[in-house]
Amino acid sequence: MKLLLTFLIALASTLVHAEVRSYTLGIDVNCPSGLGE
Amino acid sequence: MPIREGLARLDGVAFISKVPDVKAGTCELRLQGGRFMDPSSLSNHVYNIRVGARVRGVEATVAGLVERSGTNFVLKLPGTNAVLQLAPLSRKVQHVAKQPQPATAEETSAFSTLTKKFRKPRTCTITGPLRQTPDGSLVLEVRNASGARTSPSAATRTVLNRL
Repeated sequence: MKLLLTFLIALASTLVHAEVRSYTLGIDVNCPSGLGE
Repeated sequence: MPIREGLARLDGVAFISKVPDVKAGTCELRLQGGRFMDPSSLSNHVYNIRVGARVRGVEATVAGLVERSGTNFVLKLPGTNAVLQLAPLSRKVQHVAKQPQPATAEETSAFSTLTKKFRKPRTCTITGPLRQTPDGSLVLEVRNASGARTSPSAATRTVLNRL
């Protein structure tokens, strides 16, 4: 029973795996080359 | 040193946009494993690069579990302790002519669209400005919400293909 519960918790955490897909940084720079162009 | 090189020094960087969006004044960044990083840490990192740049805002695209918490809505990130309070979009991170880009009607109503028909917790991918309140809690403004989610492996493949 305990093993089944552990399995179900592991399965649930896989299904609702969260992640930050991306960050978009709004950046103010003093010169255009600062952004790396 | 361009800011791109400075951002590459962050631990676990998986991707940085090769060409920044100069028009919008933004730069895209992804961390390995979809790691969460609070906006003040990102801001401090850019400040410490010391190239005369500062972060005026951070937008994040986050997949998690949307839940109701009292009268509020939150996005929980399983595997971390992070809980993001959801809020309507107030101001976009993207700029045009050094002013925040005006939000579209769809972006303005994204939060109410998400919460209006909310019945039970569900996974969602939310994009919007991420900010920290003075008491330290994190708020994710909803600019776009999508119920569809791709597997983490698919996201990783996308990152690898772009490197």
